[in-house]
Amino acid sequence: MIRVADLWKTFGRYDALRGLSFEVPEGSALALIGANGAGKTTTIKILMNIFKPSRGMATVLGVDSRAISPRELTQIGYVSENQEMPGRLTVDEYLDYLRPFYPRWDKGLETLIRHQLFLPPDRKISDLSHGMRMKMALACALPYRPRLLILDEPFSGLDPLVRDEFMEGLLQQAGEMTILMSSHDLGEIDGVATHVTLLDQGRLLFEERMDELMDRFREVRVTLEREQRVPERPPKSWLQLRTAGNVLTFVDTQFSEEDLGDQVRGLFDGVRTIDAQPMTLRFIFTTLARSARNGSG
Amino acid sequence: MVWHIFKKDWKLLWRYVMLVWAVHVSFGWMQFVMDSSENRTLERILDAFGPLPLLACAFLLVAVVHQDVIPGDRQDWLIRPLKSWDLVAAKLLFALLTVNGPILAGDVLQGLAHGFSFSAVVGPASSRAIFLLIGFTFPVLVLGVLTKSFVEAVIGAIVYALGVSLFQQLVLSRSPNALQLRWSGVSWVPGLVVLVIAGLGAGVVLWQQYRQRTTLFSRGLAVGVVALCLLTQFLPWQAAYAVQQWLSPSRGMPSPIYIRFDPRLGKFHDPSGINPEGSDRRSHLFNDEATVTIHVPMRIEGLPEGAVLNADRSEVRLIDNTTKGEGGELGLGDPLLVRKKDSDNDAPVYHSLKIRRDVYDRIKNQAVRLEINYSLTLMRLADSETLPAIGGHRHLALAGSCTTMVDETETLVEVHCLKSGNLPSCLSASLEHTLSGRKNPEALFCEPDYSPFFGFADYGPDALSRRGVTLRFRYADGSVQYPVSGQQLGDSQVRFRIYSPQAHFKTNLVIPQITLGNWQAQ
Repeated sequence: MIRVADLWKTFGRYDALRGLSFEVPEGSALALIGANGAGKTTTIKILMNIFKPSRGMATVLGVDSRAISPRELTQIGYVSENQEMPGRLTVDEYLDYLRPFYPRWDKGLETLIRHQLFLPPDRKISDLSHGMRMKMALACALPYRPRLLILDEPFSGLDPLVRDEFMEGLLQQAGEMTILMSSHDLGEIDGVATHVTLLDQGRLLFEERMDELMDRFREVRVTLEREQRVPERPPKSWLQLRTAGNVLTFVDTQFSEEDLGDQVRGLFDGVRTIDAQPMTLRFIFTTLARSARNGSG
Repeated sequence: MVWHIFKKDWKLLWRYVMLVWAVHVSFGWMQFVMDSSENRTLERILDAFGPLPLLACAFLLVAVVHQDVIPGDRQDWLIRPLKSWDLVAAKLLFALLTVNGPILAGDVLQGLAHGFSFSAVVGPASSRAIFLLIGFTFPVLVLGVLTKSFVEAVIGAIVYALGVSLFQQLVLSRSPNALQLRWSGVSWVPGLVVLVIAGLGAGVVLWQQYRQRTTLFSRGLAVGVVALCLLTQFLPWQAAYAVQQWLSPSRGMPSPIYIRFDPRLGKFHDPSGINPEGSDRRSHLFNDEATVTIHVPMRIEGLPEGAVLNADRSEVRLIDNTTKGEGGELGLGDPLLVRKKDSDNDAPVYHSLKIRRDVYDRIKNQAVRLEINYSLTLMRLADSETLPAIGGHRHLALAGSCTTMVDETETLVEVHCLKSGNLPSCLSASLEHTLSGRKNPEALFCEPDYSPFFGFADYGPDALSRRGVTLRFRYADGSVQYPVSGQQLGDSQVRFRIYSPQAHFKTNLVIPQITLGNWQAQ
């Protein structure tokens, strides 16, 4: 559905993207995660042909992003936190305006979505709150049943209630849609994303299925019989290795229940207990991001 | 989708459109009232706020473009299945239906209201509409597509105005090769070139922006187009005049016309007594600190009876015989306008030339060679019509709708003419007493404009041309007696003679030996 190969984008002397490559399989929901400035929005804007890549290429629905035409845009829904809609039109007027552009616009679905999202029909877009505007953008993106839905920081600045309404509206209509969602808040993509791609400073740190990622990462706590020094060359898959007295903690990025005990006992004497806990996506993300910046990732 | 996008823009801007139309209707009405009767208040309003209607249109055009802003990366329309062509076409349609169309309709209505026929009005109005579309609407649309907001657009307009002004001050005013065509009858040639460049340039920038949205590049392109337009001010006289000659109704001279130096005419004498063309026309007779004016006596042979010969340009070259042919350009001669009256033989004329005082002092007693290259236009009498000297109001075939009245000081007959389209390049007017046949001296008024089109490079209020001439019949102090005086105005008429260009040609006057000191005015 989306293929990105060695994508570079330069603004002046600043490289916003540095050789990014990843794929979004059809029917998947890929979360593009990364800190502010990681290159998520730039990537999405290249995919939407709002920016031209400096090097490399991206294809969307099988078409080079630079050649995306109205034909492809009828099959792509786009929601962004900073989307500028015509503020002087009302909700109703703007939906009326958009309808003829999409041959597959489903008026019944539109009514349903508007009802679900509690959108006031006669209110001007400029008078809507940020959250309402995001819901409005979603309401403008779903009624034509796009094959690909791109969400750029969709939950940014939304209060929990609006976020839930937004998610409910999205998930109920998602169906067979392929979704690409960017976010810097990992709590938001839990339960939505099937795949995750982590960007840092314009580079890809990893791209993985969500379930595999969650299985692969563990926060490990080892209790030793006595205080010991950290080995000079610990396994590369161990990140943030620390000791406090006789307690050793680290993040295992290649967790295997069978191998962990042997690995620990091979490096330390007198292992009393080994406790490996699943990690939240947020914790995985911050661990990787810190490691990448410290040059150990 | 073009109509669909138009309807959206209309929904958003219809109040503004109404306001712009209201401004246009108000100004059109004020202009109509002012054309029909003297009204100082309206005249002051129009003088002060004349550009307001076009300014309002400019804001409207920028506003419609900004409904779907081009620069930037957050606009919702960027991710909608809109074809660039539909968007451009919708904006152009909006401009045509809310700005250019109504202006065209207003121009036609204004002409009809003044009593001109539809066929007389529609041509000039359409010509002006085309000019405004290319010379006003397109550039304003370009300003719109290159900016994100009104503030940016206003800044862009100011930068443009400052840039053009600086270019004029720093380059044009200091370059001897610039502005050769300004105020001449062929100034329409660079005007047309500018229009073509502006039209093509605007088209390219609009297309580039809507297709590629490369704002920085497009801004550079727009600056290039403006620079190219400014460079037309360096269009040489010869090239422009060649175009005019090519378009001349009868190319070349219909019959040979010669200009000869004739020293037998003697020195030029400062005229006294009745000066039909007013004292301001005599300023060229006098010297100033920097220059000395000489008056070269000449005879023009072969000028048809009743014809007018206008020197569109005379390039003067002076060669000092004592310095082995070294010469110098003296610049341009003063305006030369000759009309051969029925009673004249070959018309004697004096052509005034200004010479730098230091040059004059050095060579005034030497025999020097003088060469004058003339670009000339022969004008033939096209029509002669009359209207009463007081309270006259008549549609004249070539001069338009003219009215006469006596001015407040009761010394002048004022004639105001209103014409749909271009005014005649030259006309003469005189007061004639119908009972006695007496005539006051004839005054010749020439503002040559050989443009085949109306309204190019003219941002005036409508498709009508206006000209006022005054005919003196007495001085307040009674110092001069005119054949037709104030008491006879009731039985008098103003006779108009309209001259239209017949041929444009060039000729040289070479005087192998002339002593400049001999030809100062007495």
